[in-house]
Amino acid sequence: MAANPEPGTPFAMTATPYREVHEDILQAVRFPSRRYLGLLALLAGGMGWAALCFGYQVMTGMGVTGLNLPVGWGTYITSFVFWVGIGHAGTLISAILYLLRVEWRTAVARAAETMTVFAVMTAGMFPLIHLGRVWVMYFIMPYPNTAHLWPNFRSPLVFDVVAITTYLTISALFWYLGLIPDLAAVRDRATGRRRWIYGLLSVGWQGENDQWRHYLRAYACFAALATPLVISVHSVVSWDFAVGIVPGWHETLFPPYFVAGAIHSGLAMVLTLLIPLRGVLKLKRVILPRHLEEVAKLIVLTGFIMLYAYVVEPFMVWYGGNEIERQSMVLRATGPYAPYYWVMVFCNAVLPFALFWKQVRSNLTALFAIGLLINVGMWFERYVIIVGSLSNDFMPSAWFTYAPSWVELSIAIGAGCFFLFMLLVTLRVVPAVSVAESKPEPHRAEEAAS
Amino acid sequence: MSDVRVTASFPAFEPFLAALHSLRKAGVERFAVYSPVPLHEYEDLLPRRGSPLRWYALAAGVLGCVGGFALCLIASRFYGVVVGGKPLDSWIPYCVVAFELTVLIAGVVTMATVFLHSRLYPRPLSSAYDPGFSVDQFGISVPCEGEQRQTVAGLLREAGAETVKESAG
Repeated sequence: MAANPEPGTPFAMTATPYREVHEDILQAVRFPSRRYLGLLALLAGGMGWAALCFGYQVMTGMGVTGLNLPVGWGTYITSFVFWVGIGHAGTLISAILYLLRVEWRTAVARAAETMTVFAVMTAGMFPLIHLGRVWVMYFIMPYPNTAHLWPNFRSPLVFDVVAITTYLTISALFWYLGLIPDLAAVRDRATGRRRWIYGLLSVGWQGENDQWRHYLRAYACFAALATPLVISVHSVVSWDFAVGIVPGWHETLFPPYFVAGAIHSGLAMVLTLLIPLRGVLKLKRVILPRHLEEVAKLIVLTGFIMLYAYVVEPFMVWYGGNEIERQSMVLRATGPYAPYYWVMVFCNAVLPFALFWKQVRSNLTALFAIGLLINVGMWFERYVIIVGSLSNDFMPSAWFTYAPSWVELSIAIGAGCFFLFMLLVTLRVVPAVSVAESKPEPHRAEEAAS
Repeated sequence: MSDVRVTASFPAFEPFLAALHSLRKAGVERFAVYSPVPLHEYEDLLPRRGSPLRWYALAAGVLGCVGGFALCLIASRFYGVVVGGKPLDSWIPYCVVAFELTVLIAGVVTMATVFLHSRLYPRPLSSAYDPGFSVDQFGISVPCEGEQRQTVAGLLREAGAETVKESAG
């Protein structure tokens, strides 16, 4: 594809021949270079170390973590909330922006959707790791059993299980549905065993008008289903905290605050990953700086919502007049977790406004750095909310300053390695950008050509 | 049952569009079209419009919603312990589970329906299919009987088809 389109030109209206678009995108589906394999090996090493640490925790018990009364939720639950949040950008870009007919989404949607699927998988591991006795995790499933035990469906923790399972299933199906025409395109280029595998995965797709018709209806249906789902999932996650009476948690602001934060971190992760990946996968002619700039504009919007939440939260605490809540808020800003609090405020609600400037938005290094820092800020936001609130509850004699143990840190970093490993492997075996969506519809191609 | 399929491939969209108009004009109703992109704007020219998919999704969503409430009520009946002072039939919390199951069942059924209606399952590709159809070529495949195949082949060539081939129907 040629250089950036003229300002104001919708991205799909470029007069690029279909074959060129096709070749540009599908060249990334190839056997990786040695450096790429080396990176995968490093990530696999990180995953292996985390697996060993998890084994150690299972054999020894939860005493190997830094968790102790009253801090029952620490790094694991922080990471759970963080990774669920990362998964929100994919659905925003693939579903909400699809329904709004935002054309620039095409360039980043596939990578964001892939990110969503693996981020939610990564998130799903943490409650199991946190469980301690992971082998009894099936207790949460509703099934007739001799002990007559059934899940308590009035509990937000059970809502969470249902919501995360639904979100993972719908995100994975949505992602796979979008992939089918592209897998057929890869099949048609492949030979030997690869052709057989891609043939199996593309389930007989031939681009017939009947197939396209049902495919498009299904895609719209999924987008319509996923849009309220994305709002509900992080609202449900926020209720894990908001329905509790712990000072710092019991706030009606939490659902919108969490949803906005999730999208904020997810979009930042899109920038953090796509900026290096477009070079590694040689997709610089497909994922243009202009597309990343559009993501940055969305981050400014979510940054405003974060700023609003950060201002309203202390205001409501002050206005509410509850001494315990006030004390919790003051300790957040001045207590043992204060450095994390101020990092969170700076990275999530101050730094994004640098993206108001076109020079910053169009500078990929700056975008990468801002994306990375927002992710750091968002992890600390969850840490401050979860750990900071639990540490200083109603009874000062029980106050406890939590610090994660090396086992918790190893598992948290290993989970990040898992996420990156799965993402990097997947984007080598499936097209990282939708081939079918990147080709303008015939009448638009004609308009553009004329 | 047709004897043969006449399949034409077009390297560009204009002759393909002209062929579609010619077929419609000649009263040919049954044919398949292959394209690398969806053809939203030209659905009027294509055979069989509409898709029952959204009705399946709606029915599955309703089923999921009812099933969600039922699951919560059944679970609370089997394990009737009042927790946190909430009654066993707590309709508001159960709405959350019902909503999630609405989306889950509707999504799974939508996917199953698109597979079923689009005949998406591992199978040999049609003899009419050309790998170029996933890149930049457009194709029309018409099931013909007897003499009709010559007429159809003529129409497709006249419109500008690059290749016209016949295969078993």
